[in-house]
Amino acid sequence: MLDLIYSFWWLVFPLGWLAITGWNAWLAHKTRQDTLDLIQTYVRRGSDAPQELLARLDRPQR
Amino acid sequence: MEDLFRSFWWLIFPLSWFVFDGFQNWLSYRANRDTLDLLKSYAAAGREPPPELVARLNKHWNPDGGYRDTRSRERGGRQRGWYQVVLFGVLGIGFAYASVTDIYEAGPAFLIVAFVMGALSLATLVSVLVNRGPKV
Repeated sequence: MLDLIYSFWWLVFPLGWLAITGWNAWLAHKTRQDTLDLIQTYVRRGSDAPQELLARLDRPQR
Repeated sequence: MEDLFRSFWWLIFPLSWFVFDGFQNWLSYRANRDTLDLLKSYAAAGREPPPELVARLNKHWNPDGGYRDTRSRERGGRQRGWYQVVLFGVLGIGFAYASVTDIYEAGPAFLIVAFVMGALSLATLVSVLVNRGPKV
């Protein structure tokens, strides 16, 4: 086991990068989902969603 | 176990960066979700939300400076890019020096870290140069 760690410790960097990229992508997805959910609330009520809310969908989320 | 710690103690720094970045993004997501929840309450009640609250949608939350405008954030992103070019570059040079002089008798390990830092510095440099927009 120790021998394995000594040989492949450098894998921490690409794996860490993958994990953080995946985590950020998931949060961005959740943010977009929440925005759409709010727009849906406005639609159900029969009114227009604020322009800023619609503009958010065109921006990359973080 | 102690031997493992003595060999890889320095990994705490890059790993902390991964954890901190993920945590910061999570806090940013939470702040954003709270704003959307509040807007939803206004929408459900059939009331117009305050313009300040709607304007917050154009801002990005960060833990040290509260909310920042996304347009100024793009400019800040370029500045941060240059900052990272210098930071990773200097770290790379430092680790290369540590590798050449074989500090702590861990020359090969430091060489790999120097490569990683150098790659990050160059990648950030390319990103900053490619994304350089017209000056406002």
